[in-house]
Amino acid sequence: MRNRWLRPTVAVAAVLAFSQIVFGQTTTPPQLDKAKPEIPAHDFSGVWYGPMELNMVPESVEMLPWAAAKFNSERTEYKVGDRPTVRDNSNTDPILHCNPVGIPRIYWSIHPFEIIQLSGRIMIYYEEFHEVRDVWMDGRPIPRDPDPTWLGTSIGHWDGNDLVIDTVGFNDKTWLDSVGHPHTQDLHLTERFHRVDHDTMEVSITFDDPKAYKAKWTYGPKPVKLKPGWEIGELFCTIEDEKQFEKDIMNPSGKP
Amino acid sequence: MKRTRFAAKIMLAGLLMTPTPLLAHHGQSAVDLNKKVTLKGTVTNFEWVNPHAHFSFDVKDENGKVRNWTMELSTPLMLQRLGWTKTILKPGDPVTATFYPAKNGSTIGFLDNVVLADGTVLARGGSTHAGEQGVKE
Repeated sequence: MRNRWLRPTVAVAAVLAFSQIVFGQTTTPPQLDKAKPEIPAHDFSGVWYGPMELNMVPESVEMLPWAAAKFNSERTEYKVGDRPTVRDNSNTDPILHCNPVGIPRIYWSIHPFEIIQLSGRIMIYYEEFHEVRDVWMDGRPIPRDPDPTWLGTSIGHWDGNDLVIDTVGFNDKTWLDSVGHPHTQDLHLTERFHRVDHDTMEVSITFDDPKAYKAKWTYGPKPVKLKPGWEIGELFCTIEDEKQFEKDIMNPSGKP
Repeated sequence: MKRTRFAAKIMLAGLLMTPTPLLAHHGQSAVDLNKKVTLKGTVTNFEWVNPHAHFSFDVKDENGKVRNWTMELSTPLMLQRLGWTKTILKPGDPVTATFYPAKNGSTIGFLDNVVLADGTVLARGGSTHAGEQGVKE
């Protein structure tokens, strides 16, 4: 015997389905849709945290001979398990003398940074050794003959909701990364901050330094997390602190 | 063929750029990352300083000989985010420290974690391990 409820049940289901299509309703209750905070537009304000690697140069990117020679005489040593050991010459590290860590090496830092958005510029305030840079957002052009400085001159613009930062005008006194890769004053760095969701951004860094490296390359994207409630604290590099550290820890543990 | 080579390049780049320990920040390849040691002892001092806080503790061996070990930590700012305070360790406190010792035989190590008398576990604050840099998510 045929079920006499079948036809009405199908009819009701069809009406319900049709109404969902017409009225665009989902089966998710409204309050769950609102649970995900929105991605802010053109806004990276806040304290961010996402330490990156010591080495930012892939092995496939060749250095020019002078750069390879400088790298070999200055680079740090590290060994993890069976990975190859590089000769240790860590006393050449410029930050041991409290020179600025510089861009993009400072992305390695285990300390957070704060992005502060003002009219016409964005400040990036790194907790590591209190380094601060301005990213000019007022439409000024990338300078053609900038004075070389430790952190360079940064010009930013919005690409959709991504923040793109072009930096030129570096001096050549910093290490490019924490294993000691060199760079020249002609380094042109392009950083892209891409907001993935409310609490996460991805940072990609494109390197262009033809006087030191035979190719351009992009490092990343690397995730960086928003840290609500964190505040940037004071962390200066002082010669006195570094000397004491060398005396208490580095020298006794470093000499064979 | 092209796609395979491209994929291989990406994989290779990924392998070579695997996070390496923060210890190289000061070129401290002097630490043996393949060796993890755990010792019990008594705190002798605690220096809440930059760029690396450190504490020392006396360890008595089976012959009754006492050696004083120094444990290197992260900066006070990072340590605070993990629950450390400048008074959390005092001379006389019993501790159990797990660390990576210096290769040159000196009594210095990179702390991995320390367990206090009340069972509190405190981490180093700037890790020597790949992928565990700084504060854990």
